[in-house]
Amino acid sequence: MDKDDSKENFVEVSVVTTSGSYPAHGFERVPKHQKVRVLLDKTAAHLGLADTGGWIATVNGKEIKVELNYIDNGLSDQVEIDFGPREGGGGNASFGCQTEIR
Amino acid sequence: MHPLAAKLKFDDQVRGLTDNLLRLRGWKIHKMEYPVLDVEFISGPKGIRIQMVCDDWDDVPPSIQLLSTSGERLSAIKRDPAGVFNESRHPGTGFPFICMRGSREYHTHSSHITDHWSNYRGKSGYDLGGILSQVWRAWLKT
Repeated sequence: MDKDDSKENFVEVSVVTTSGSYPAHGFERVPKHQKVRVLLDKTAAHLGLADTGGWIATVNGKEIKVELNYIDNGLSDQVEIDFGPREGGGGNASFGCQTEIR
Repeated sequence: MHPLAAKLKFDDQVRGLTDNLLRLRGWKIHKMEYPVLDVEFISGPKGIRIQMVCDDWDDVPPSIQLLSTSGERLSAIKRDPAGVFNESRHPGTGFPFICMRGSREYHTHSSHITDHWSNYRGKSGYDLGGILSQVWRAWLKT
C-alpha cells in the first residue's frame, strides 16, 4: 500500500443538511489535508443547494472553519458535519420588531 | 397557490428531515403532515416545540407557533440575544412570536410590512428546513 493511501491520512465524513445527506448513506473517505469546503461544495452540488455562502458547518455543536482542513479543525476518524443557515436576525437587529403590546 | 401544489412543495421540502438529521440536532417530529410541521427541540436550553403552519406554502411564509413540549401555546418565552424569540405579544396573534424573516408573524408585523416575503421566497435558507434551522440556531442561544 502506498503511504499516502494509508488509513491514517484520511477521515470519513458525512454532511447532513435539511435537504438530505452526502453521501446518502454512510461516509465519504477524504484526505485529512483537504479543506472542509471541498466536500461542502460537493454536497451542495449533489443536493442541488444554491448559494450556501452564508451557511455554517458545525461538528458536535461547535462551528468549524471551512477554509481549513480536517487536521487544523481538530477532526479525525469519523466526522458528521451539520451544514445549514445561521440563526436569523431579530429584535436587536436593525430589522427587528418593535414591542407593541405588553 | 393551489392547495395541491402547496402540499407537493411541502412534502418535497420536509423529505430531507431524515432520521440522521433529527438524531444529530436533537429534533423530534410531532407532526409532519401538510400543512403542519411540528418539531420539538430536545437539545438546548429547554425543550420547546415549533409548530409551522404552512397553508398556502410558499406563496406566504409559515405561521410559527411556539408550544410547550406537551403542546400548549406558550404565553411567555425567553428572548435570545438577536431577538428572534420575541417575548412581546404579536398584534395579530396576542402571543410571543418569531421575529425573523421567513416567519409570517415577522412579515405581518407593523415594523416589517414593507419587508415583503417575496424578497426571500425561494432563496437559500428560506425553504421549510432552512427557516426551521434558523429558528433552532437562535433557540440554542436563548
